[in-house]
Amino acid sequence: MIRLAYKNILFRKMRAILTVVGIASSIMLAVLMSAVMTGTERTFKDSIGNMGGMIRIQPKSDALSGTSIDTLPGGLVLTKASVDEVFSKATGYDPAASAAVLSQVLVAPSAPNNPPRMVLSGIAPGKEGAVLTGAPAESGESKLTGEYDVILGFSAHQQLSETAGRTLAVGDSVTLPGAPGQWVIKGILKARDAYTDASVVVPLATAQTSLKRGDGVSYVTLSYPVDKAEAAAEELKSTLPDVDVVTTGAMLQSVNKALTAQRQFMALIKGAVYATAVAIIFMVMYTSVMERTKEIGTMRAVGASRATVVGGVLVEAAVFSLLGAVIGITITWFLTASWRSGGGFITPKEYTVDAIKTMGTALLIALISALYPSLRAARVNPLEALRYE
Amino acid sequence: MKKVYRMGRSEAFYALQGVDLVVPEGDFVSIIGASGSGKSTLLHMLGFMDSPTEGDLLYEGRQVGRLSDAEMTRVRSRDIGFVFQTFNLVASLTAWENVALPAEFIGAGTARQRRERALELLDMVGLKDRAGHKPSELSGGQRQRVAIARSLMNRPKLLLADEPTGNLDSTTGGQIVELLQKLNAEGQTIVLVTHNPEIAARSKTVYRMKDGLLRRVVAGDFFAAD
Repeated sequence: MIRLAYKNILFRKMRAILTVVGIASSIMLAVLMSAVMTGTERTFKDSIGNMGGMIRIQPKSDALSGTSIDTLPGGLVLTKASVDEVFSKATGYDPAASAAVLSQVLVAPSAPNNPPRMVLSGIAPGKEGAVLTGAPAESGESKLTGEYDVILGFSAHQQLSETAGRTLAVGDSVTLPGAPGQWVIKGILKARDAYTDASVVVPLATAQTSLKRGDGVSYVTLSYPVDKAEAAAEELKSTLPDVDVVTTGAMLQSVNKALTAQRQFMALIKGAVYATAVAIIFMVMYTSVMERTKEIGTMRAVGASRATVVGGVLVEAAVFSLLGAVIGITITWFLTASWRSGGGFITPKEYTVDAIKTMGTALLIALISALYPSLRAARVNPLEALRYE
Repeated sequence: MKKVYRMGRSEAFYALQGVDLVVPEGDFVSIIGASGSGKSTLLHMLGFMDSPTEGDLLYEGRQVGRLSDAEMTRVRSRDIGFVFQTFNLVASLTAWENVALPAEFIGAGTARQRRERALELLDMVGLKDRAGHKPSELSGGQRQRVAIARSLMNRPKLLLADEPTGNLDSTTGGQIVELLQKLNAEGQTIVLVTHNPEIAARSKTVYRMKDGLLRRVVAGDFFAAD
């Protein structure tokens, strides 16, 4: 059965090649969709996950519900009085990892619902941990000492180097878009997650002057043990009614909401792609069975059972599908090499898991779409087929 | 046996009006008749590709007319060899692969054993040197010889040939009939259907089929008009 299917494929090479190319194209698109979704979800979850038991206190606004703090208009800040009130009423937090932060998007996201590409975080020297959450430095150090010191996240450093036309190093002067001043690079961080990588950390006072925010900050971040964060947040909500208290869990929920529309869109595209693959295989196998009515009749006449005929058609469809899947996945592997390099958008393991799932789906598609043609082939009456011209 | 085809609610076509036929082992039977006389219908029934509407079809004493498709396929694959007018070889397979097909379908022997037997049969029909060629690379006569070799793969008890020379010139057709005579001389039971009396004359027993009725032909009656 397998040998017959293989011989038939070789005998009709052009048809086989075109079928495999069609399947490969569909699979490439499906794998790309999966990779984008997997990468996007992991990026957001990693970024928020690294915040552990962090609580954010930010200006209250109904219009801001579910909005990332990094896209706040410049006018919405917490005043010094509000900040002092927060620190006086909050208890049980880790002072070394808690601080007031002035946040400003310097380079907007490349697509809706993606993280910003560069975010300035102004923070008091000695409190860098509240923003960097333990991210290690590739070079230099992750401590602010000078007035115009700046610590760059991995991708922020890459972007600024590209703008400067050379690879920036610790000690170099750098211009930050939208933040006037002659900044000096104090440290460059290793690749970690989308938010940390996009970070540009500077002293709070200098940021307030540069961005003309007076004594205002964007939010206060408080660090709690993970198991105590929710309870602490509930307490703060009751004692600080004039501000929004957001936990990591709540942030995850709002990210989830934002991602839902993207997920649905991707699922729609993937569905359309798989439907195309089904149509291709169905048409090819149906046409093949119709062309080979006499041949199938002969095989039945000389002893092939219905099961043999069905099996032959299904095997042929499975070969097309798997071959197309392997080619599509391999090409996509090379096309997405940059996505997987150096703390990239998607890990090799994630890509492999997506690829295996897609391969399994491709096989299922083959079997489903070839089922009707194979059953039709099995119903060929040898007598009628032998009269067929 | 009778075979009736219903056309619409009231019309019926009797392909076989009432046929009594016994094929002894080792016989070479020809059934001669004009086109539409019912001879191919009878042959297909003998090959368990069709069953009678009325009457009994017995094979080695067993009633086979009422068997399921799967059972008929099984009997057909093991005990019946077919030779068709239009050869009906699988275009994507080489000559030896076509010959080995019936054995492959019943899972007989290993792949190597099947190949060896296929080459043996091709040698017997004089085509061992063309074993690796596809049907498109063979002449009509060569294809028919491959088809005959294929029909013998599973050592069938009965070989059925439906107009085996119908698509061949007279010289090649004559060679094919010679081959069949040789096989019969070695003990193969053959039933051949033809419209050509000269072909039929080379068998041991001849029947004439006319309007769905079968009659044994005796000496002197052979070339009588239908």
